[in-house]
Amino acid sequence: MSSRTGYSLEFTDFRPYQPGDDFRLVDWTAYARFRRLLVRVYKREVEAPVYLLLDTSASMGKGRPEKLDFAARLAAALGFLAHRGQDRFGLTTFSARVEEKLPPRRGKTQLVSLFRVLSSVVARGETDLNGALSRWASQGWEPGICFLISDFLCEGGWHEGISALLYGRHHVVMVQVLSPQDLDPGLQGELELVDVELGKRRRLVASEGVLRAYREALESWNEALSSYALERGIPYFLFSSETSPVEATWVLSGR
Amino acid sequence: MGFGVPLGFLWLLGWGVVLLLHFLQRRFRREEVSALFLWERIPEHPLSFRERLRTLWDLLLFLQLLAMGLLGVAFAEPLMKRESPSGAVALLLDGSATMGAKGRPEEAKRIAVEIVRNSTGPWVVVLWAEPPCYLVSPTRDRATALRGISRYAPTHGRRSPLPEALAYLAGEWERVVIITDSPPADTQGFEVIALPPVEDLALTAFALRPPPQGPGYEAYVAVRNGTSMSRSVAVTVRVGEYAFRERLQVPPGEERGLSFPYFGPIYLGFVARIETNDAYPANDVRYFSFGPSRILRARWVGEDDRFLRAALQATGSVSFTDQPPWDLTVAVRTELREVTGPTLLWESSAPGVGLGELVHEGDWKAEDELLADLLDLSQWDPVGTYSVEPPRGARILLRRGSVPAVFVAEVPGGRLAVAALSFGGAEGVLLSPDFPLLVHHLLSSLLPPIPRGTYEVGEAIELPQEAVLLEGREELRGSFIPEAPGLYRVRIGKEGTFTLAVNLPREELIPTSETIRSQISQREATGEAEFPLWRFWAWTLLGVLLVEGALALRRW
Repeated sequence: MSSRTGYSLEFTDFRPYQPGDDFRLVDWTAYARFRRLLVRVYKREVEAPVYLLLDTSASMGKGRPEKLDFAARLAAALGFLAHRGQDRFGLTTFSARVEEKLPPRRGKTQLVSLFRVLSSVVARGETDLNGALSRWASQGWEPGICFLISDFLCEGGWHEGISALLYGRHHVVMVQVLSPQDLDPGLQGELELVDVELGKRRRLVASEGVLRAYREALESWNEALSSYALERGIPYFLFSSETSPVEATWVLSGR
Repeated sequence: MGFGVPLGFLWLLGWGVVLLLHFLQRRFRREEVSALFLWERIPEHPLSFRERLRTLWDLLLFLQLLAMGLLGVAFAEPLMKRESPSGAVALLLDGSATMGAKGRPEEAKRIAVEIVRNSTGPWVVVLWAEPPCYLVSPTRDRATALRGISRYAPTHGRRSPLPEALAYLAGEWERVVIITDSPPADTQGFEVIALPPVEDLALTAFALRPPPQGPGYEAYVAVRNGTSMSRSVAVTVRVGEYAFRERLQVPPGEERGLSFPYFGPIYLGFVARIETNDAYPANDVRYFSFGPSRILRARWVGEDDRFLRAALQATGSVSFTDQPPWDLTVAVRTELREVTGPTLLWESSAPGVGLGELVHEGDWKAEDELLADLLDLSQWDPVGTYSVEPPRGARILLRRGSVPAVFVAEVPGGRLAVAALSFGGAEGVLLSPDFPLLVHHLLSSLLPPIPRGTYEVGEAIELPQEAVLLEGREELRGSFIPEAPGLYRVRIGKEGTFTLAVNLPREELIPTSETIRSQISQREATGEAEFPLWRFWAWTLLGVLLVEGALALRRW
């Protein structure tokens, strides 16, 4: 559930009275004590849809275990939790473009549809977080909670896409999924590295120094991601695809 | 360690080929990554020497080089050189029947195998039997030698004299090892490995004969106790469906005999058996047969002579009768009026053979070779001889001075054996072995040869004319040499049959030689033995190739 201030039975705070406020909300007891007009603020319970935004670009198909496999299981678990909370939930898979959409609904049929779509997702295409998320946000979805599940390994960046979600008054949760091979490639010898999405190649000799440099580059990339999230108050999680989806769901629901 | 074919190392040139192929086919390993842009951010990184070495390291290349190296070493035929007890070894395995005692063949084989395994060869293995034969003719192949030893099995017969067996060991042998249970007397220069004695009860004698007096026959058995305690032995004699059982108490190390009367049929074979469970079962049974011979029926004429009567019965199966027909006439100190058939004239005269006066002078001389060997005539001075004129054509066997004392002659009535001797006052000669030997010789000269019925393994048996030995489905004629103890059926004509009995040779009756020597002289002739190791290399190579194959499959 999305929590915003409004009318409900659950008291949240006081705030100074402002012209136009409902007199019924003025706390006269507080006025007697402090000689100031204070208005009681209640927690407003708003039903917000849950959007599962799943990156299905080709890079998600890499890794042992496969990143997309883990991501799909995680999305299924989140969808199940939303269903148990009688919330509406939907799914959008995307690469450079939006691949498949499941508009938010509630109920068992929706859960079955979610599972069916998740079981058939295939990793393909390039990643364009900015383009895909901007296009999705521009479709005017009702503000809700967006679980953005991706490896965030997109050379074009993610800033614009996430900003578009925030502009759409969505509550964004960033879930980064990386494979053990992404985190520590463990490569050796003479290699021709091929980008799984773009097909670009680079030859290099993998040595300890090169691997160290790679790990530093990845760390720097993830650092930028987490800093961005922190600055905007966006929850950010990094999971290895080795992690159990149940454990990851437990971590996410604990928020 | 050495190498049989050092040129085999030329295969190591293959390393060059492997390396050449490796570098010609060297290529960058393709690896898909999720984000190449991260790798592109890595600046060019100069490799340290160690990193360069690690780059060159390739497990597949290493395995290929290792396989080629192993191949080269295998073709060079690596040999392990180590000190070995000896080189050329000749083994003489005693093949006599006593080696068939429980556990002995296995022990002999075990010792022989050990000797072959611990020596460098060449080897020769001879079965010391009668006749000896090669188990392994001279060979340098250890496997052939071991196969030959595995074929070792003792015979049922005796062994030949040692020189006969040694004649099979042609050539120079560093060691001559004799494995036996009964070491021969002269083994100078040989290694003798004596197998330990065994506890044993043996049936050492079994025969039937007419009794000195009375009807029927008398069976005689003897049992030797080769164990360390007194034993009560049950002896069973079987003939056809009849069985006679007696018990005999035999002290340790001694032999006891037992005789009992027998009145049954005699044309069948007799089997005597002792009931025991000792280490040498072959001597727990003996066989006897009268064979094709029949009991000689003899007519006694003249005075009685207990010495002559006993000697006749001892030397042949003779029974005395007054009713014709008879096979032989024995005339003792009488004057025979007529000669009818074979006749033994003992101090007697007959038509054409008259005895004169008694003579006690002159030297005794045997003109017959066999008698010369058998008799000890130096004791014969008290024996007198009658002067007598032998018939024309007579064969003189014994003479005193110029007087013929014993001769054989043909007269119109039949064949005569004349003993013109007087043993009065010469009891020493009567009680010596000379007397029955003389009687037996006279009987042999008088009558056609009588085939025996009981033989030993390895002894040639001459079958009578028209006789056929029935052995399973085979029919043998003429002569044969039995290889195993037992009763053999022989058919004569259409209906007549008789039995031949074959026993272990007498020297194979006792499996424990009293002269087993404890000292075993073993020469420790040392030399260098070479043990080929190429098999080990080949198996390692196979393992390496399998790992390499698995790795290559995984990579491709």
